Amino acid sequence: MYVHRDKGFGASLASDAGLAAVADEELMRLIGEADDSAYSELVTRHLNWGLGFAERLTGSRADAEEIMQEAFLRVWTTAFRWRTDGARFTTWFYRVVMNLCIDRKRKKVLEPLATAGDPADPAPGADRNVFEIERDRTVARALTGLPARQRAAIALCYFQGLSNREAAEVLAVSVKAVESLLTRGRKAMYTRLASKKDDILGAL
Amino acid sequence: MKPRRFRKLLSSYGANPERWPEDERAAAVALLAASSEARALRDRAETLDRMLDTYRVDAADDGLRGQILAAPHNPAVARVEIDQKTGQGGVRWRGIWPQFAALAGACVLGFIIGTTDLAAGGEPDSETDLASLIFGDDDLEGLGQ
Repeated sequence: MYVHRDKGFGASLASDAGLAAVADEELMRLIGEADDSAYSELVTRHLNWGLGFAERLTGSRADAEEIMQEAFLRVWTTAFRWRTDGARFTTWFYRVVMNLCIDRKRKKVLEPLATAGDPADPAPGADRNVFEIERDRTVARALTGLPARQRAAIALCYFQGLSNREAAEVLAVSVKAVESLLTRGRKAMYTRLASKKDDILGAL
Repeated sequence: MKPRRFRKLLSSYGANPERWPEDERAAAVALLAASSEARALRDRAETLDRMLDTYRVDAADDGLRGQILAAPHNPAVARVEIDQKTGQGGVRWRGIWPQFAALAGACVLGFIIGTTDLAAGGEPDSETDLASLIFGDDDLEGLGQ
């Protein structure tokens, strides 16, 4: 279904099934030339990673899935403008996902309460029991209740495993500011979760 | 490393040394090994880490992946691409060329039909000519006799 265009560098890479070794930034250049194989490779690499980030920022699986669709659509429609001048794809992509999450949460705040729904609604996986689902919701509510930048800092550094420098790039702040956001965010999380500690850890 | 900085590492990054900044990790681990106070602080930070670690996210399913891969093939997406590309050096025709070809074909056909009808038919200049155009010459035979 996804026909690779027979042109130049991208065609030879795809025909050799060598895209797995190609850097994200080069994949973006190929996607700018409408290369389906490069797009598929980039989706394979970053879908789960971005989905985890979006779900932890929004607290909603459904929102996170829609955001990932929109984020990858932006990859496709803007790749032609991509310049390989040292910019990292992951930094740019995390920013795109983060901004989409913040926009969505802002819109939900503006919606009437009757239609806004529960802000924290991680989709239960088939292998989770009712205690685990409730535990996830408790942590998700605490996280989504933080101010956006604190939430993003914790999601990036703690859950996604970015270094403080990488997180600083995504958030467009200094490393010191990232540490400040993390400290305030973790403190607030502890305050919110301390009274439920036994419920959360007891289910383990 | 000073205890104050160690506390800051714990409060920012948590109890796992793998999350501490690489350039400070060795010094922080050394302090942890040497100080019981540092270990007590680490244990306190670990409580929050354990609660956070319970928040798991499921991997994407095949349906979501399929939707994302199919999205660029939606004709509406191609139109967005063209809007973005205009003025940026080049238009990507993929996805929209069938619609463009159909529109161009309809225009050419309309032009041909319009010009040939007028050229062939001309302006009727009498009632007879007008009747001929409507009914055809065979229908009018014998009417004037």
